[in-house]
Amino acid sequence: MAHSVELDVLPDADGSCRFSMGAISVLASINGPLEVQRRDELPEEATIDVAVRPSAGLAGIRERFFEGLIHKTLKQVIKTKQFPRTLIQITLQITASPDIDAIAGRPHQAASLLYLLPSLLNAAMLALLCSSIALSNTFASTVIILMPNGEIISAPSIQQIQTAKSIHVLAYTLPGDLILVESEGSFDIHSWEGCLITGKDQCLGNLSDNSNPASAKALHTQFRELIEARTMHSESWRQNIDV
Amino acid sequence: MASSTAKPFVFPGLPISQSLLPIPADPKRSLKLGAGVQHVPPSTITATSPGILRIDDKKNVVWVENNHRRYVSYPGDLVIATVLRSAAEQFFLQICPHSPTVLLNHLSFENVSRKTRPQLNTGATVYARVLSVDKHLETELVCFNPSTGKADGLGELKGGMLFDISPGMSRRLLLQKSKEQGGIAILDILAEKLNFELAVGLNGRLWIDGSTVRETMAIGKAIQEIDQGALDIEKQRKLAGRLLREIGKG
Repeated sequence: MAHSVELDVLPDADGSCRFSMGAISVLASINGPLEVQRRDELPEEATIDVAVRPSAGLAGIRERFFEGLIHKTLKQVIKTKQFPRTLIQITLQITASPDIDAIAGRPHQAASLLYLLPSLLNAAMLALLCSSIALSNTFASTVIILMPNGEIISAPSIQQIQTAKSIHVLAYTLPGDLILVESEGSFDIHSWEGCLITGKDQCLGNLSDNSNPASAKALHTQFRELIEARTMHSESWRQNIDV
Repeated sequence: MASSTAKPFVFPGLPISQSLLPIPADPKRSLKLGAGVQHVPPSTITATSPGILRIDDKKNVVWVENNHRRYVSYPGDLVIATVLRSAAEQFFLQICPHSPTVLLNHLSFENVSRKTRPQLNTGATVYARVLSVDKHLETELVCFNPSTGKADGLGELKGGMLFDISPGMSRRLLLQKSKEQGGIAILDILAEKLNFELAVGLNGRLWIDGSTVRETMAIGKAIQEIDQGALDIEKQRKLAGRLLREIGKG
C-alpha cells in the first residue's frame, strides 16, 4: 500500500498534514505551545493532548486506546521540558477508513482496527515537523502482518489483514530505536523477530541488503524529503540573494 | 557572512556533522547555539527542528532557520501584541493566538511615572520589544529602549489595520536592507506614490496605517500575496504597478 502526504492543509493550525494510505486517510493538526488549563498544567513539562476522532460516530474506547498509545509515543520525541506549563494539542481526524467489519461480519465496536495506528502516528509526526515544536527525534511507523502460512507481509492490503494470523504495529526512531510495539493475534518468538526486521527495513531502509536500494524508499527518507522540499520552498526567495 | 552554495538541511534526530560547524579563530571561544539546535553531551550537536542550518562565523553562532507558523519569542525581538487586561502593576498581552499571556509593566514606556501611567484598553495594539524570555516565567515586553529611555517608535499603535503574515516574512521585512538581503521591493515602490506607516512584528503581524482604508487594505493584501506566493522582485514590481492602477495612483 503506497501512501500519499499533503503538508500544511489547514490554514490556521501551527502544523497540519493529510496522510493517506490505501483506503485510510487521516488529517492531523498540531497547535502549540498554547495556554493550558489549570487542572492539566504540569510544572516541569508541556501537557500533550491527543484527540483521535473516528470517521463516523463518536470517539469511544478504541479511540481512547489509540490516544494513549500515540501520547506515549509522541512524548518520547517531543522535548516537553522546553515548554513547561503549556499545552501541545494534537488532533487526528480519521477522514476515511476501510469498511472492514462489514466484510468480516464482525460487530464494528469489537474490532480494534490496529492497522489504523501507523497512519495516525505518521500523520502526527509529519504535522509536528511542520510546527515549531522542538523535537529530540523523529519516528516512522508501519504495520506488518503474519499470514497463517508463516509469510511476513509489510504494507499489507485490507484483504490480507483480514486473513492474517497476527498484526504488528511498529515505530522506529531515526537512530533505529524501537519506540512502539503493539501486536494482536497469535505468533511465536521467531516470527515476531522476523516481523521486527521487516518493520525496521520499512521504516529505516534495508540495512542488511544494500544491493537493491531503489526498490522502495524507507519511510524516514520519504518524510525527510517531504520536509526538505517544504523548507526549500519557503526559503526560495533566498536563491538570488547573496546573504 | 560570505555566500555559501551549500545550505545544509538539518533534521531532528540526526547529529550535525562536525565539518558543518564553524571553526573559531580563537579555540577558547565557545560555540553558541541558537534556535533549533541542542547540545547532547559529550560533544554531539543535533537539530531539534527541521530547517536550514545557518552559521555566523564571526560571532561563532549556529542556528536553524525555518518558516514556522507559530512565533517563539526571543529577547530583543520586536512584536505586535494585543492587550487582554490591565492589572495593578502591568498589562497582560497576547502575542500569538491562544499562547500564554506576556507581561508589559505600566512603567515600561517612555516618560511615564506612577501618576502618568498609560491607559491601554482591552484590544489595544502595542508595538513592543521582548525584554526577557524564560520558560519558567512569563515573557516580559518593554515599550522603550532601556539604554536610552526613548520610545524609538514603540508604544500603542493607533488606527491602522493588522495583517497576518508568516514569521519568516516578518524577518525579511525587518532586515536592515530588506530589498538587497530579503528580496522585498514592493515597499520602496509603493512609498514613491503613497503615504503610509508600517510596523512589523516578528510574531507574524503587520500593522499598516495608510491615508485611506482602501490603501491600507491594498498594501496589506499585497504583502500577504508576496508571502504566500513567494514572489520575486520582478513579480513584486508588477503587483505594485497593478495595485497602484487599481487605486488610481498609477
